[in-house]
Amino acid sequence: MTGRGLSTGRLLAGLAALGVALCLVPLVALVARTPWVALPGLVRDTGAATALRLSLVTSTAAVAASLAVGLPLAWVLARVEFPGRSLLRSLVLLPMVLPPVVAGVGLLAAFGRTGLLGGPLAAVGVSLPFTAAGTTLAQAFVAAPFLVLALEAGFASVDRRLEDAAQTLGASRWTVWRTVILPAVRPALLAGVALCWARALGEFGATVTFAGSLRGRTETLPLAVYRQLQVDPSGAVALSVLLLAVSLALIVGLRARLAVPTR
Amino acid sequence: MSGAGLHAEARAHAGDFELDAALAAAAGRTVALLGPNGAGKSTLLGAVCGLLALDGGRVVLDGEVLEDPAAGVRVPVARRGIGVVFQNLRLFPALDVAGNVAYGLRARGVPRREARGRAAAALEALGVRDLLDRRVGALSGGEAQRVALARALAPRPRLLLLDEPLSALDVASRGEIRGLLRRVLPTFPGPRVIVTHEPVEALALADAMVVVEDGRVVQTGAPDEIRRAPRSPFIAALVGVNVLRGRLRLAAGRAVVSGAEGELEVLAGDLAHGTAVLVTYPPSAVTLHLATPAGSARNVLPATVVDVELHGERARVRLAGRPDLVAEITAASAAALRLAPGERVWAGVKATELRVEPLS
Repeated sequence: MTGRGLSTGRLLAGLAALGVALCLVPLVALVARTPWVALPGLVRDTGAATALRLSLVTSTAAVAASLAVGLPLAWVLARVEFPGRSLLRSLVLLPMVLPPVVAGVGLLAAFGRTGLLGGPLAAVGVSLPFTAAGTTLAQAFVAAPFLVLALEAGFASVDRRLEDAAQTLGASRWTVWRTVILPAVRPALLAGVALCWARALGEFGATVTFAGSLRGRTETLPLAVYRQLQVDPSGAVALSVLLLAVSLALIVGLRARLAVPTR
Repeated sequence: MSGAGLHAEARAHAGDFELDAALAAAAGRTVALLGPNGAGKSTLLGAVCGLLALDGGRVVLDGEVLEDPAAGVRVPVARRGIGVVFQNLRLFPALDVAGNVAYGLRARGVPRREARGRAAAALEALGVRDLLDRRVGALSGGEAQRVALARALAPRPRLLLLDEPLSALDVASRGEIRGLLRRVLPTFPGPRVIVTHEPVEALALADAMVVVEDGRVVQTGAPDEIRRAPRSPFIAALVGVNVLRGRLRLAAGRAVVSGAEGELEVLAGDLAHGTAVLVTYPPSAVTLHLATPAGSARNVLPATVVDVELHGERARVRLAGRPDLVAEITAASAAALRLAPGERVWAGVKATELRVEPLS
């Protein structure tokens, strides 16, 4: 029994190591292949700065938009009982499992020039496809569910009895929100924002389908990486390292916030 | 339904549970809300402080109508000025002790420094000013209870509700907090309502008692009155305990509690000589005899039968003696003893059956 237990343990450890390797090898390869000396020049010449700025702006806007609608939605899903709640919950999560390209086509069908809402929007002078706003919309569409999912779990875990206690002490609804609910959902909020942001930052399929890849206008960093790969693989590596650095900074930054003791 | 104090008639429901109970408490008085688990005691508190909406009836505090569904009145919980000590305390884990106690003051717009000062004073009054900067999670049961009490008292509420304040405590801190409540409650000027399912607590702390069963009030009155004359076998089982208040005297290896109503030999445990105590024992612990029973490792008291009540196979025998007591014996033994009012008997109570609780 002991020998068999040991071999099972070894097998598991081996598989786990394989998993770690699968995660790390591409990253190591990326860093190893990076032309460090030529990097600044490559970043400059490939228009990476513009793409990076666009990526940061659109993904941040996408997170803001996701928060604006996702926070109330998560609250409703967690706190309000109504018929069809579980159906709505599944619907909200749909973009997570939808192939991004399908999401892009769906957005075109809705907001494209001849789309369901595109015509009326165009009539009031709003056109989303092939604009930075369209990129943001596409990113928010695929990334918001991550935020909603995390926040809903956060809201559901808030101790309602503490809210009641706060009320008996004279706390208004807003004070209860600020002093009881928000501190309790803070970890979930940060985790949701991190996931949402990472997803928006890395989005490719939905943005390219809906907003295209116009250099300087809708070409985000992932799109720039793909374009560069076709003309100059070493430039693609340079841009990839840039994107990797930004993602890493994001995770580290949010982990540091997450690690703050909530007392 | 006007004037100082609390006057509540609460008709409400929580799920399938129906509450229909009246509760009145005068300013400066402590009312014990007594009943078995699930009787609706906490539900009634919730209806008074507004966490549970009324279906009918009304809640009036110091002449102000807080809730009256028929008139469309419902003052929000936050504006009722009712301090609540919850059963599981519900301290805010994200705040330290100072933050918890100052919470009600901050919520009412008291500046931070002043709120902290008043929180410190509230803790001081309960003898735990040193807890000010402690984390809530690091408090002992008794400390947390004091902090919860300080938090409820700090904003100077008009009414104080305590939901089973001793139930979560171990035996040692229970006596300590009961003593604290006996000192602190009288200093609170408004009405106090304390929920408990322990008759001993009600007897030790309250001026009046309201017995609740299945969402309804089944008896109200002074604690001793209800204890002596419970209106139903249920209430008798719940609160119909025998009581002796007195001081503990330790002499010649014996521990005796003597009070104005008589004396009993007890097991003192680690209580000190001179301690004020409350001795309680169930009527079922009392045996009755026509002659002095042999082997006296027990209290044997001469007593006179006042009356005998039959409840099915049980008989409740009220006895006058020093102290007065109630015995519950089988109807068969009552018949065999031919108990009748005026009959002189011997009542036996084992010292091991006596529960001795310090009163301070």
